[in-house]
Amino acid sequence: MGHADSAIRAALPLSQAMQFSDEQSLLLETATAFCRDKSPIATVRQRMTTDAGFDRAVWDEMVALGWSGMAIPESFGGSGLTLAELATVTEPIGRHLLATPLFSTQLFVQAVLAGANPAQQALWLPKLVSGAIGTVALFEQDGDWALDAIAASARNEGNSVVLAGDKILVGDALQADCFAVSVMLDGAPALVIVPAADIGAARMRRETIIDETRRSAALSLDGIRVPGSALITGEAARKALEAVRHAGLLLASAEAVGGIAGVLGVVLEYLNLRKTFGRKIGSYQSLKHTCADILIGLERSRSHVYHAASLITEAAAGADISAIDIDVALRMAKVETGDSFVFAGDRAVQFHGGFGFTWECDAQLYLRRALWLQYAFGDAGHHRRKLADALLSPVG
Amino acid sequence: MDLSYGPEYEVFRDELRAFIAANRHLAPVAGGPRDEKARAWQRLLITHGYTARTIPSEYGGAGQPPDLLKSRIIAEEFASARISPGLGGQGISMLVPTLLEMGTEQQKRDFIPSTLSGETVWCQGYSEPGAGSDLAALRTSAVLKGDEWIINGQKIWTSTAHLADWIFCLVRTEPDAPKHLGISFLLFRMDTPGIEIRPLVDMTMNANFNEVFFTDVRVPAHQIVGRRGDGWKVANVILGNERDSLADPNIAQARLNALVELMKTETLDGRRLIDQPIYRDRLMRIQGRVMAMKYNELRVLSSKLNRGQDTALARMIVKLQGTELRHELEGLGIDVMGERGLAYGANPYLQDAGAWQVHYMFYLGLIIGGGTSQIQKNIIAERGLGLPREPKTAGAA
Repeated sequence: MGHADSAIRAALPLSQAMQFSDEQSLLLETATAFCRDKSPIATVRQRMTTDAGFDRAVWDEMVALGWSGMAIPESFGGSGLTLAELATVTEPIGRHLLATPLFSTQLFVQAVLAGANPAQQALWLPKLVSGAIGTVALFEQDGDWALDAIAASARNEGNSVVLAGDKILVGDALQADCFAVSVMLDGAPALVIVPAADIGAARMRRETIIDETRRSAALSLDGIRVPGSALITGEAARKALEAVRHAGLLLASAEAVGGIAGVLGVVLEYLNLRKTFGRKIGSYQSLKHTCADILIGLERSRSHVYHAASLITEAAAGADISAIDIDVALRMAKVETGDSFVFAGDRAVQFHGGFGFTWECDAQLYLRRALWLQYAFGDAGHHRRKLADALLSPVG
Repeated sequence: MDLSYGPEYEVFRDELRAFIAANRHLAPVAGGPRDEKARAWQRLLITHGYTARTIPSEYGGAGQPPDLLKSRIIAEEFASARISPGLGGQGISMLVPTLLEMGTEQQKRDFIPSTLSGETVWCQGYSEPGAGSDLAALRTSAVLKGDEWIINGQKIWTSTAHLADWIFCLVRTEPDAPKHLGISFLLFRMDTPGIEIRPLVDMTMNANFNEVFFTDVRVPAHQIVGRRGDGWKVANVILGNERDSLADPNIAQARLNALVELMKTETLDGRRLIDQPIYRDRLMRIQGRVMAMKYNELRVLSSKLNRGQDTALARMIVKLQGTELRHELEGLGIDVMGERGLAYGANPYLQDAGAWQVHYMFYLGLIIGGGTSQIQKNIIAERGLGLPREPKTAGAA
């Protein structure tokens, strides 16, 4: 614990190791090669024009590589690893703008792992290992980033539960096999696990969103009826929502780290090619220094993400690390990665000059993804406010 | 903060905390004069292996095997206890590591023990009026006549020249060679005839650095480190060390904690600053950056410990980030004090002995010194990111 004279109230623990295990190193290598191979930029653009937004064959290969079941215990057919390994494969996904329902699916996985009862886990987890697509329906139009501020509701009717209300930004909803939906039940947050068949396409409306490489939908819950056994309530619901939020923060942050590296590559290539006034534009200091700033943002981002991931690994291995410590590390990672990626994407557009403003320029693809990631699970201002509450004395 | 590195290291940390608790009354003021108290503290720390840790005992060090985590624990504990971690200065932080790597056996024996003990104080003769960011353009000349170098020229921004016994100095010995290959690294006494020191007052009102003039200064030929023309290579061993030591995240965290305390006492519109969203936001912005530095350092450490990955880029940003972050942090301290932030020097309502104002300005100096932030960014962009160098202008060497 902190020293008596420490003014920062909560401990800011440091990961003991903060290094890649051999397994993680191998995973990073495999994932990097895979994403480079499966997601060249022309393919990224082609997939943006499809309804699903991703390539089912590529998803099947990711499933075969074990990525969908990575964080699922071996007893359900998974690999029994943690979010840290998922973050490792998510970084190259961001770098190569690979379109995939992995992010949505892992949020669903975390909800089920943290909150669902054994019967629900036995029902869903093996399906997810073998490639079922899951997603979470959490956000609402008037909501903030607090996942327990919910207007959608559920009420018991005999052995069933009937839902009401609307959700937005439900990732990969039109392709998903199963949903975890947050509702208020008897005045407290709850989650409902709903198979796609019980929702039906008629209740979903595809949303146009800023990142064209992603798919999401608005969802009308009115009249959805599911058995009472689909409910996650009380403490289990709280844990499930927290697990989803933590996974969202870590994976969005890891994806942003990859994205910064990716867009920096795009910029450097152009700066080494394009000439004005008889010299390569990369030789001008105003551009060069900004690239150094982007790199510094990348290093800071990577350090925050690796640290948060290391804490999660150590906590999973039984180390004495509190939920607040992990929460603080994740929020700091999200603040840094969100802002640094948007800065990198924004400058990347600028440095391409007139071409940068066109749809053809790849820099904008990264900027759009950066904006999506910056806001996913809360922007920097939101998290700095939460960090201040966690680290400083309460407002008096 | 809880800085846990594992059980065997926590034992080491506990021993160190016990040592500090038992001996802190012996510690001199950090950055204070090199009096007998400071030298006695230095001897005590070397005996216990808390400073000069890995320097072989035959040269006056503690002779311990390198252990990066123990070194970090030492830095953390002395910073959080706010007591002197032993003598610093350019001799210890820069010259000693350089001699260990590039010096002859005789030079190591002649200079390292007396430098570590605090008997010999050094200054660094690098920058010149026409050679700052472009250090290799330096013109101070040394000509070999018989068994002596004859030195003529001028250095500037020479910290502690007025206190130093010796200088390690870059001079041009091969005027016809390309500029990086014509430099040599000499050691000589500051009381050698022909040396004149003129103090320069910096913006904090301290006169810590100087101009140093050389007129036919005669230096024995053997007082060269490395070979003739190797001076640039020798100097770069040191510059790496300087960059590392300018930006310690542990000290930044201690200052941030002090800032939080200050914000609990200062009020605006009748409310404590610590309770006001804008100030809380600024504080958290800085806290995130301090932790990023800490985590960067851990990444560098773990890759050194484990894999030998190339961490050159992560290291390059340490000085750049650390100095700019401290400048921002100290500036927030001035903001927080409001009207009293304008006080300085002997002003009776000066807060914390003027530490916020002095550090704010002092860090501007560090952002410039040891390679300006702009030069660092050039290096990062060119060496790290492979961007093209600027075209040479006509007349440049």
